[in-house]
Amino acid sequence: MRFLMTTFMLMEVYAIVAMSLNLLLGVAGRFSAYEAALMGVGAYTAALLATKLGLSLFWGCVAGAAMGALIGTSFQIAARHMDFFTFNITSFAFQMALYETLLKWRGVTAGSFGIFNIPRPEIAGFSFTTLEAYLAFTTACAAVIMGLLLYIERSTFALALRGLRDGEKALQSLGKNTFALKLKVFAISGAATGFAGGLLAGLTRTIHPSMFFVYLSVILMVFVVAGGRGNLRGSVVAVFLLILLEQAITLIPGIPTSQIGALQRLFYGIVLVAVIMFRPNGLLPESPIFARARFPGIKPVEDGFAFLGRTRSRESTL
Amino acid sequence: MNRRLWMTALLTSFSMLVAGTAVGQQGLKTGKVGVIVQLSGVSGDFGVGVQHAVEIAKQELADNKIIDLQVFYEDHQQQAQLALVGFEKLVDRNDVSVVIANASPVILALAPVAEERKRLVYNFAGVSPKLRSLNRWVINGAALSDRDGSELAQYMVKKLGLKTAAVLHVDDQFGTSVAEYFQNAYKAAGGKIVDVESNPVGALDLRTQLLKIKAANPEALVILNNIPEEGYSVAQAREIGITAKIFSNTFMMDPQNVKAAGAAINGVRGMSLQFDPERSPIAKEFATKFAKKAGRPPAITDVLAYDGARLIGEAMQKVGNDPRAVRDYIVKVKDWPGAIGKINFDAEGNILLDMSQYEFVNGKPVFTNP
Amino acid sequence: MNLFLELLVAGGVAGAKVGVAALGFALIFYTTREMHFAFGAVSVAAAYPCYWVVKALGDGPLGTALGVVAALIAAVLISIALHKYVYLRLRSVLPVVMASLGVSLIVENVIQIVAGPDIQVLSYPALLHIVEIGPVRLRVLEIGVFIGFVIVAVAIDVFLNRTRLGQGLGATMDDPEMAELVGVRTSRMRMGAYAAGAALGAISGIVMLVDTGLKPAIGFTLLLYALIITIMGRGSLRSVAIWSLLFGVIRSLWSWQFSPDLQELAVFALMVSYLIARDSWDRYQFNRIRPISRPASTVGADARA
Repeated sequence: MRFLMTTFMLMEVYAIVAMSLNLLLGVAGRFSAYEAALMGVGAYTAALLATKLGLSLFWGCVAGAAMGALIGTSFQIAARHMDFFTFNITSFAFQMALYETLLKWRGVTAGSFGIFNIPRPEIAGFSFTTLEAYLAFTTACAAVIMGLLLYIERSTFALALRGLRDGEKALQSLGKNTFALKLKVFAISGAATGFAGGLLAGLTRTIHPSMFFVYLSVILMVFVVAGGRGNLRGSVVAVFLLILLEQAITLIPGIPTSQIGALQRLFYGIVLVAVIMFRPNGLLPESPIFARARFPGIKPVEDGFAFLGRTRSRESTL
Repeated sequence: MNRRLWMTALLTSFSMLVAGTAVGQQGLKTGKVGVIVQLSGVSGDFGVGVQHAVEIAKQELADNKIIDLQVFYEDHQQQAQLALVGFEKLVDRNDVSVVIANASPVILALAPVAEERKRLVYNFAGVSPKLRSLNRWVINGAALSDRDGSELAQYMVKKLGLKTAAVLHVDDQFGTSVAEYFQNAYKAAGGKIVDVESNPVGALDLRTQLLKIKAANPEALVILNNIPEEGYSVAQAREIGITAKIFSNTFMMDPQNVKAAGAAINGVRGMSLQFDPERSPIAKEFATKFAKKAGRPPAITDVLAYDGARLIGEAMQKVGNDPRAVRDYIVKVKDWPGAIGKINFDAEGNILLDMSQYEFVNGKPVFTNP
Repeated sequence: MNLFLELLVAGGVAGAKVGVAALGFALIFYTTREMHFAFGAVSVAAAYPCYWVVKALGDGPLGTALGVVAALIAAVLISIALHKYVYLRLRSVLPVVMASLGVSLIVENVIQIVAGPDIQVLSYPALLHIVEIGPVRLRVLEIGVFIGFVIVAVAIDVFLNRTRLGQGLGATMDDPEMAELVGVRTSRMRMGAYAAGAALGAISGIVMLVDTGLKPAIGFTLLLYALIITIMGRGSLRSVAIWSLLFGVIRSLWSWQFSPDLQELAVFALMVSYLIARDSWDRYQFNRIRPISRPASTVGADARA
């Protein structure tokens, strides 16, 4: 029973992050590879506030959300003019840099020791220490955040974001401030991810930088892609389905335990490639009303090669 | 080998079935044990070796009609949160009484949950001094490295007269705390630490750190690393021209480290638990069985896992499956015959084993008791 | 001073090791515009057949040569298959990125299941022999890798600029549509680029096999370095080569004054900062008001902007 509850809570946490990544990637079309590190930042903020300052984990989560939003917006500000590929690689490098910071900034994060004995939250005297109580807490928070994200998905703000994805220049010509849009979406998704990181810290009660390595970012991308880019409900479905299947792999008789981790990652890789090749819209495709315009003239990804330099001669160096 | 296992299991279950219908209890008792080690990822073969060792123990217990141990494995991949999930799974699904685990961060993470769920955690390989006396639900079946750190320091300064030393340690729970203990002991003994470098877990190119150490010109270099980084540290240290004497810890005994170090291993000294197959018939038998199963001689941690599993099995047979009773039984054993030697525990559940000094000569360690 | 020199040399060697892989990746990327994230995993996976062959046939010259050939064939076959059957089917950029990430997961974990997660090393005593050059001690292996890297970089440069085939390849890199129009068989060029890039990747994998050992997990980190260096060199393989050397040297020289602990972080932070700064500088250039009259020789450049 406890194991089921723990898995369910893990699913909730990943669902929040997957939804916010979907908002970034699927709806707004901004690639993001540093979600895992952002979760780590949220988790560490919450954990440190809870263990060092005795703050209730709930406020720690909120602080984690604030940090997430801050980092997301600063990243976007720094990377505002980058074309697709440079943005892509910068987000990977950013993930690695954040991960290394978590690992090496020993004074603050206790580095490779990790943080232990993170206390579960207390609100108005009621302590959520037992697993059942924490399940209720997580579910309530997750419901609120997911509800918010779903609400945002249906709003005109999301419409503008889809415009960002499909044709940024066209959107600009309509008078929308695309930069402000990007800032807002990074802030929202960063906040949700940071909060989820804080919830994770309370769930496992111990955090270590290795929990937030780049592989997690890739797996989050699998959730988003498999569920359907642009459809937030799809991400939730994908998280639940894929995690169930992943756990089911451990139940297959006859597999040596040493191979289970590799099999699970293999499973995710196969899912990703299969979905991309055979059902690119994912499990729950985006509502057809948002389908891309058929006009081939709108090709946002050509910008992707702008990093090759304004002067295209082969003799240019550095 | 497999067929024997099946036959034994069949016989035991058959006899249990028969005995169950009778009033008197004549079949084998059963006990459930969980094992959480890294079976994949970095140093996954370490966990596979432990698996072999535990299986050998389990079979011996069944053969000697002591107890039918049911063992369930979980892979923590050296991540504490996976260990936690594995622990919950083992307790919920399999209702294990004892969990055998390794890795200092894992044990630290499991300790509060063990207390919550009232199961015993037997640590057979984590050596961080932080594990000393965690709570009543953790037994340390591995000698923690605060003691041998200070013994090594004393030996280096007082006996060998090496006044300056540099330390290279792995940047994790184990490495950082052991390095700290060693440094304090070294300074207390009158020595001077000229440089301390650390490397990330799994780093195989340690030349940058070693170059800096070389520039500090110590008389001795102490390497506190993992498998197989220790071997590479030694090889690369000699390669870049460090002539200082090299000291290390128990992990240097591991065959992977010895292989990685190559010819540079000669002259490396340190303190370690000593596994001597010739010491006792138990040790010899285990070494033979393990070599046949795993294709390599057993490492110290394999021996400790084997001893731990047997000890737990015996405890369960004597006092039943209650984790508290098992813990009390284990802590109270006197001179229990393990393959590693005679095993005793202190009142808080930390194993008391003697360390020996070693020096590598011609690729093999030569032990001397201090 | 000694420390500085040693660190410099060590950094140069490390840069050369990454540089071989970076050149391979850059070849593929500049020619095909496909972000082949599986490059690292495939390079590492291709080195395993080399290991198996050498283990089976012994490490004499025949065994080694066959091993290397096996690795090259494996890498080239896998990469071209990926290009033809996976990447070409997916038209746009984001699906290619996703698919290649998925493939990298698959390849890495298949290798782990087949060969185990542990480190496999081949040691050749001849290569491990230590040579002293001045105050610096190096292994023959390292000297070999460095010289090999320089040769490869120069060879690529000469090939691209002096041979007809190379010029065709360069044309495909610069402007594939125009190249097609002029008669360059761009699809052949792309396959060739994949083959060459995969071969370089396999060589880099073999070097790792002989140096510190192979583990399925190192593919991804190798890829990230190669990728970042490729982006930093804008479309010019020459600058990719220079950047990889710089990368190794900077990482190493960081430890000269600061803790080696932080060298990875420093390098990533520096790379991110450089990318951001370069991007802003580009933008600034782009937005500046230009004088109306421009010499004719830069017409091409302007037209692109």
